[in-house]
Amino acid sequence: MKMGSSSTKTTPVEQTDTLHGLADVWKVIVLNDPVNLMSYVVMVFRKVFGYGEDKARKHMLEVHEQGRSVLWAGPRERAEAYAFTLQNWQLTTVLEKDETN
Amino acid sequence: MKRIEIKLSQQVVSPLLDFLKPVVRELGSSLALDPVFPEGEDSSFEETWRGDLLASQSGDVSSFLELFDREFVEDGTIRIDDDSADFVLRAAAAIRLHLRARWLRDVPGEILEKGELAYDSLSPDSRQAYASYLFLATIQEIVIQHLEPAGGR
Repeated sequence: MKMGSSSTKTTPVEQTDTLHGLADVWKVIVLNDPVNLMSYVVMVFRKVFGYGEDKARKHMLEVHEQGRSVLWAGPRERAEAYAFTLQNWQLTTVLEKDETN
Repeated sequence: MKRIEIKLSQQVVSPLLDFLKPVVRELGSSLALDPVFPEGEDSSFEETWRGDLLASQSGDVSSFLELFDREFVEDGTIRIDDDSADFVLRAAAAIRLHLRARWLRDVPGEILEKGELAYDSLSPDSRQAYASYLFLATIQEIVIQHLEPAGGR
């Protein structure tokens, strides 16, 4: 009985931790660099995220003028996949946990 | 399948290729961009990530150099199609980043973006690097303009 009640107390704590982990939102952020062409950056955003020309261009201008743009936000695993793909296209990309979420 | 042929002056491009070949070899073993990881990742995760990026980059730059093999030597033409567009673009980006980091690091980013470099004030190696940097940008522009690798405009 003791073991049973101990287990009952412990299990919900573990579940709560897991739920927090799943709920974390990660931002995929591209930083400005003076090397990659604007047309290249637009093309990469269109290719990786499937954005239209206008949306891709808006993000490119954000990167260029503000130094960074949040391209995507969501679960960590997908964010990592996007970050890897963007780094593979030679764009400076970082992941940040969305602390406001 | 779309395909473009770019006719280049061998007299102009061959010296740039001689300069670029050792640069490309360096990119077979070191990344053009050092990836930044979020806190909390273990070292084996980072090692795998770096290894995968390096394998991809190495393949891109090797394939890029092959564009300048037999056909280029014969008639000064490089041929790029839909299948090769991606690696050409990525390789050119990697090489340009490396050229900047190694030979043009003292040039302020704004000057570099506007192309307002005082060419005559550069060292001979930096001149070669800058000429190669511009050459690669031109190749990228042509590919983006004519092959529309993002899937149309």
